[in-house]
Amino acid sequence: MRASGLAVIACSMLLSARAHALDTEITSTTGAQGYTLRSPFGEPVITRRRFMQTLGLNVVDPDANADAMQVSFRMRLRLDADFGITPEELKNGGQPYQYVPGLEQAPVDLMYGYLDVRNLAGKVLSARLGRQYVIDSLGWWSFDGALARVELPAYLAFETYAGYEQRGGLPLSTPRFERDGVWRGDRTGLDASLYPEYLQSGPAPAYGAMIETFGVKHLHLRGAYRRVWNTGTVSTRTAGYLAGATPITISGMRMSSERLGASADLMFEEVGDLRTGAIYDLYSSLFSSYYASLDAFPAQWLTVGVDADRFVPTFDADSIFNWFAHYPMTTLTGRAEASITRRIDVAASGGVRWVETSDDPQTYTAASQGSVSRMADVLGRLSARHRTKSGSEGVSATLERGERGHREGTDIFAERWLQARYRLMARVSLYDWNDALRPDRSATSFGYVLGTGYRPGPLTNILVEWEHSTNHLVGQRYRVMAWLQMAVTK
Amino acid sequence: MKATTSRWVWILLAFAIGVALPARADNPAPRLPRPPGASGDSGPSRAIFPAQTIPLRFNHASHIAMGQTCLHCHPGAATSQQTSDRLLPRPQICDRCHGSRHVDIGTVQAGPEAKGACIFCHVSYEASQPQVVQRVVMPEPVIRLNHLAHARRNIGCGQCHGAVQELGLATSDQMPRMRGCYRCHDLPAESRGAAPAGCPTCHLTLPGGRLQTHLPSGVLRPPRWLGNAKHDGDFVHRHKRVAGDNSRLCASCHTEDDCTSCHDGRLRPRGIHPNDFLSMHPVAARQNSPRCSSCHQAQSFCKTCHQRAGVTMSGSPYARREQGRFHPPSEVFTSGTRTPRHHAWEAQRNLSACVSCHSERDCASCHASRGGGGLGVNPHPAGFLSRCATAFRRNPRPCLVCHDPSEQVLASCR
Repeated sequence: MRASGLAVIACSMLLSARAHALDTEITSTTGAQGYTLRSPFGEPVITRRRFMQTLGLNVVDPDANADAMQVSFRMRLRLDADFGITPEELKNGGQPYQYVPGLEQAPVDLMYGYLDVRNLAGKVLSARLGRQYVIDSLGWWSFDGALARVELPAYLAFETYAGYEQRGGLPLSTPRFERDGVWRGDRTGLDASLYPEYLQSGPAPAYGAMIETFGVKHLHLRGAYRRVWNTGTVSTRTAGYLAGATPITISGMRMSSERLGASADLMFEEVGDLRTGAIYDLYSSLFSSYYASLDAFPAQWLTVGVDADRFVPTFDADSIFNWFAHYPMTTLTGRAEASITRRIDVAASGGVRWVETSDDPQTYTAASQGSVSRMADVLGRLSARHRTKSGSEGVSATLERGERGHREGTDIFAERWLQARYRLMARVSLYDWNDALRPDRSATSFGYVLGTGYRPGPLTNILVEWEHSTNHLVGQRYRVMAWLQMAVTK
Repeated sequence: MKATTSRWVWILLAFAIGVALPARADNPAPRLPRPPGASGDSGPSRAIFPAQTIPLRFNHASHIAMGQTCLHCHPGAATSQQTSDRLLPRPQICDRCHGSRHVDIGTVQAGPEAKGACIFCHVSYEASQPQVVQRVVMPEPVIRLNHLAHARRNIGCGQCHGAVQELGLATSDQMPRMRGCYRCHDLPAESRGAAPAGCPTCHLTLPGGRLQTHLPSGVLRPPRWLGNAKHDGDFVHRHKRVAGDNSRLCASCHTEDDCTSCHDGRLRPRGIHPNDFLSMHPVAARQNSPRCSSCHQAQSFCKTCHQRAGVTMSGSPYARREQGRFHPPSEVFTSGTRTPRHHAWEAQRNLSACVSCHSERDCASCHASRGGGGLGVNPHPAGFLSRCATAFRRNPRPCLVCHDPSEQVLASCR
């Protein structure tokens, strides 16, 4: 917290020397929601009274010469509170089993906060320092550290970065960007015998690199590599752990993840587009994902294509789940998109998704030999929209149907701005689902949302929404939401 | 023979480079009436070129045939430096040939010949209201454009506006297309001058350089030919691949806030999660939980709420006793023989869904070795032993969760 504050002050001082030339934008989003969340069994009913506040600061030099060094600073803080959390859930007091490790009533996190410098070394080099996002072939990720980008005069760019992965349990951080499979957070004040599988969070050193092409006609290539370590002392033995026993732990640097990704896009404007990519998990020694999509452009208004996607879950290297038998999920779909007019577009897709198991569940016996069996789902999706300057209307429908049940339904929605100032919106949904493992939790749901809004100025929005859903499992569910967005520029 | 082969290799190589790299050839004047890049489209963006009303009869082709040039009627076109300049001919320019008098717009006088009659040009003219005709409405384009800079580089009108000399009335369809702009602006610097293909060259930007996409005239959205990133009806389902491969393209218009509003948001995006998703999300996750991980970290986001609701194994046993099991009965799902409803199949087909409720202790209590505190039910897949040594070397923790360090089975992995 203190370090981030100092960084902000330092950046402000750095930028203040040229304050006369800088544009400053302060943005704010305030959101309040109230709703109830009923357990699938009816009780308990969790009351959520959520309040969110974000505060952003952008400082840029609007007059910077395109060829000169450009400096900017961007940051966004977030408070995400839930005043429906009970004291027993927050504190490890007299009822330890009501305590939920990692739960906080009003956590504050720095979503991003970085100093960006461009056009260094003859426009070849740019750099970022601070908490920042990385979006590449490996996905979306956040870290605290430094990133440098080198763009050669033509066709190739390189990025390299190093720092610490953003992890839950550390100051001003969320667990959103960690790899899954490990329950991790701040164990301060928690006895070692309680929740030994809840691991103490620690700094996670990381580095990575990326190479990509730019300015090459028809073709874009990108490759990315990233390695993250776990550090600190965490428990190992969690099963059969006896209260009061000395915890068995492991310490030191060990791998969290190491992955290599690549993607390619080959596109001819009048013909079509071939896009493909893969991620190789070096820790698990397997391709955790690969995909290919081929789109054809038979007309200016029409796109048709096929997509293939194969995915195997991989987890943080501290997790045991990497080494549990699990198999790929493969999806094969066809799609078509048509822009009927400037305002109306329709998109439809359909296909099949199959998952694998090491034996056939229907014929399995203890003497089975581990042959691969597949369960398939049929998929479908349809959307149609009419968009104008003052709003949009549309319909969307989803279908997923297979051995494990089905989920299908449709949404109709409309949004309209009156005199560019008053907003009206409505959404109606009808969904039906079936859980093949627990047919008693199958249901049909009807819901609607009504909303209104007001835009007092170009940078200010006020929105209020009322949501009502009903199904026989939970009865009536209501949600009310209010939203205020503001921005001040100078 | 060898020389011939070598020559073909060089020819093929040169062809491949020629296809892959931007062409350097000069752009010839178009022979088609429509501007370069307009092929097959239904007109330029209405957000950039708002709708026009041109209640006139006019024939560019006949004017050109009479020896006129573009600059006779549009004299400002060669010197204009901003789009707010009005480049339409003033009526007085028409007067020079048509004999009419538009000096005082309140008392316009028709010319002596037929070509000077009001109705010759004004389609809305009615004799009963001789001084009232419908106005020409031509809103200012919402773009940066410097005609002078183009003229200085000897770029003719037709290279951006198409072969207007073959047209009757010119409409907004003659306005330049971005794809046509790219024919020059995408060239290397020595060919295209100081105006690169970056968005701010032509488009209005916000402080910081991002594109101003929400304009009074409409919303700017990328065309299909720009990285196949057209924001069509199912773009929300396929945008991850566009962003993963070329996130800098997205960053032309979007900031981090646009990504976080869904992917790290605290507000449910209704286009993704419809009404009552809270009730149906178990079925959605069971069918395809990998999709959940694009926004949710299961062991924090999902598990925390599941524990509060009493859906997890950890947490309040009181709540679980009151509520019953989430899964089918234990003798079917866990402890009995493997029927199609046994949890082994669920874990194999969709392990991510298990992780959204279960912590490692839930699984290790049975799957850990007996020395490791469990029941010794082996969860490893076939072929695991060939990978375990590497895994142990990189991170021994998962091994030690289920196996006692002294176990013989670990020796083969060390």
